[in-house]
Amino acid sequence: MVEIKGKVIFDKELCTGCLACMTACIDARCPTENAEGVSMRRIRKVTDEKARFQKNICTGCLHCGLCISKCGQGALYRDEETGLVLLRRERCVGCGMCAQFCPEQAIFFDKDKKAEKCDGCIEYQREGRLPACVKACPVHALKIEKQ
Amino acid sequence: MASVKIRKSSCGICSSQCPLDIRVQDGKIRSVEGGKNNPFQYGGICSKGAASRQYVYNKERILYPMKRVGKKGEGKFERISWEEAFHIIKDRLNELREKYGPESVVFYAGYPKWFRPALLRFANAFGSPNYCTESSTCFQAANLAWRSIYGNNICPPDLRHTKTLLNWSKNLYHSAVDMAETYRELKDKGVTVIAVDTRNSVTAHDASLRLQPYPGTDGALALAMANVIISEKLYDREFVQKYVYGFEEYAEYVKKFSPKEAEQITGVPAEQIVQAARIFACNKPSSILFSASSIVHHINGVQNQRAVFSLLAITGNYDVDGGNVCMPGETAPRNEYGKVTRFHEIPAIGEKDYPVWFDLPCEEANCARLSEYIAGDGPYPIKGIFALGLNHRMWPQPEKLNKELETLDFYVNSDLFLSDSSKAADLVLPACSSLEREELVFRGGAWVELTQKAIEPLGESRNDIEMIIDLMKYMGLKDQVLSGTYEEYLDYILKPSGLTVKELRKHPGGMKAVNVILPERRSWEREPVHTPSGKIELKSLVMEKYRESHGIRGLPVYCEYRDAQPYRSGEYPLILNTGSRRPQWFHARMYRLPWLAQLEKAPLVQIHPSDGAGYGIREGQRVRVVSPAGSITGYAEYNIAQKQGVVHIYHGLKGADANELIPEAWKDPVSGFPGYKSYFCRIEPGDLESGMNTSEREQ
Repeated sequence: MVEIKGKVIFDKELCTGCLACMTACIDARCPTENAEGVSMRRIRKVTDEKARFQKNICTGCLHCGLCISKCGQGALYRDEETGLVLLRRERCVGCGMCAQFCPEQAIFFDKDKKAEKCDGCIEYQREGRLPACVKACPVHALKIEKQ
Repeated sequence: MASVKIRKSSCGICSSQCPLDIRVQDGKIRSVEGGKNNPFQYGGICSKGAASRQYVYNKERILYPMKRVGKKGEGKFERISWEEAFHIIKDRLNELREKYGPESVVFYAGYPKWFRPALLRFANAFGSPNYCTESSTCFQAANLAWRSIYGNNICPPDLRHTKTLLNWSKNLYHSAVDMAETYRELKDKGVTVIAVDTRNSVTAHDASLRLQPYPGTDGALALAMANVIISEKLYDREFVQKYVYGFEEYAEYVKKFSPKEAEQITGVPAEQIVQAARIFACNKPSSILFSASSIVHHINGVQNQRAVFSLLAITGNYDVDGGNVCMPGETAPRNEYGKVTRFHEIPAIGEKDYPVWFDLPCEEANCARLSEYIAGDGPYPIKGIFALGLNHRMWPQPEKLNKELETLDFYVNSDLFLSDSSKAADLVLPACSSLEREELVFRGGAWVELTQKAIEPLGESRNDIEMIIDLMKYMGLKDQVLSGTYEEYLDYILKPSGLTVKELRKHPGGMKAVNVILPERRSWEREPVHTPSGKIELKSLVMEKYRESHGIRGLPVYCEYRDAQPYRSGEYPLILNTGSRRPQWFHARMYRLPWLAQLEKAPLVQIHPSDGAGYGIREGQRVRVVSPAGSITGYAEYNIAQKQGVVHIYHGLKGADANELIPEAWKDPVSGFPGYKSYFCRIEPGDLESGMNTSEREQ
């Protein structure tokens, strides 16, 4: 099987707001009994007044890396193998700087106030699988940018 | 830990039956992804399917047969064995048959739909004509509208060859994501897509031309398109002369609906109507994509739907390449589905009220007035219901229906969840989900799948068909097809296809049938159309028969619903539209999944910002929606993609169910379908106290 490894790219024009990626992210991350089931994606409303149109889109981490330099603890880093921006949870002090600068608001905080973010389903990718959100998307608004 | 295995299953949450790859470890589901077993499958998933784990392992699952120990509707049950459950069912149903006749028992099919033919056989063997389904408020009205014109079952668009696609209100990006890729590709292929939708939905927004009528005015819009097509002589004269009945009267009738006139009724600019009509008639072949019930959930629903479907006949787009076709592609022949006849030696419920339903038979009784029939307003007493997946929230005034269910002498419901519908029962049976059984799925391209059992059924839950087979044996009821095992029944269904269960088990993900029916077009050249006139009927002779007795017209007439008093008087100045799809909901069942329930506040009351301003309701604020039938409280959402003066709410939420706002009598006289998508309401800021009363306290 060909190894697919890379960053997630998102086309908000193509997104239909079907929420499949939102839930697929939960399915990939959470145990069944986890009622809250936190998704690493967010629903955002976009409007086009002129066209009298609005829709929801689901945004998530694009692994741009802006957060890496904002973190004073070195908790965030880019994985060389995949290009994904990953988190060393044990280093996070919960200062929130990364979230403040994230253009996609894709950094979340768990109950211990430690940062949580999309890891591009790196384990899936190592198995040669697509990240859950990319696999779910029925309109290919989410893709993998190959390294 | 054992290794992870992928099981090829299919989703049973809605009716699309999308293929699923289930990752299973130690007998438990680890994760769920869309399956891609052949090149025609999209491989993705929707938000509901992706939440399958919480659906299957839901804490509300019924795990054992249970009998009621408390008062009716109280929800107190006691675990019993399957043996005892069968014993009770046998005793009680036989008792009712003796006392009131077999017709006093209704055999009711809710969701999902896969077991329907077996349930019909059960009803037949018992001797009851009253096999009915939730298609009495879903698919059958559109099918009836089609059959009144073309004499056969509803024909889908041939998307591979069409040049113009008229998408009449199917928001498939949210309701049928398995079609999303194909729909998007149409544009790349140069197909002109015209979308008709009361909202500028994501799906409509992708079209080349968008028509945004008021809810319930689809008929007037379609008749105006016909007006343009006929007056500009763009219709297919040769086809109409040879194969169409009633054209002259139809042409005369549509004269009333000039584009200017229709603009007044529908709110669609006249020039857009003209443009759509010209494209549809000239850029051929053209076809119509429809939804099961967006048009027919109106009090003039069947006629509106007929007006829409008539456009294919006058433009010669019926059963030609790229039009709406009897058989879109290769098909695997099979037994059973659509081939079991309903027992009709005793008149069924609904026959007197909705005779057209029975003259254009769908082999189902009509249960649109079930609540009233149980209350004694039917042709004879209804005393018992044997139901699989009954959901009272499919119907208007659901709480009233549930109260009626509690008055039955005997009511049994087999279901996944201990819903309020099940709590009203005397006996509940645990059904298993599609992930816990093997099931036949017939797909396009003559592809057949025998889905794999991903996990063992939870608790003592069972496959519905297996349960019916065993129950019928227990009751001593004979049926030639259901006398063997479940596997033998599947082999019977498969027989014409040349496949067997044994062979399919060797091919997880499915295979192409051995025997394949190749698509043929232009059926009208080979055989007469199956209507009384033998032609395509723009004026339905079946419907015209009931002009005197039921006031039903043969022509696809348009009736104005906004003449009704509540709207006219100004007391309820807004149009209420319930049930338009939200991507994460499916009727009532998905609200119990926390993963989905957290995605948005429910119920959302979607209003145009100018109505929000007009009635003093801010976005996100609690809002009370009041109709002549009831009131609920929800959360306001502003939506600029919908029309001013229209309120949209999704239904099925306990304590704030939009269907409580629709009165029982607000029905289409032809089909009995509720006018879910065009009733009336007013909105007011929801003060927190009253919001608590109507909604939260009950939850």
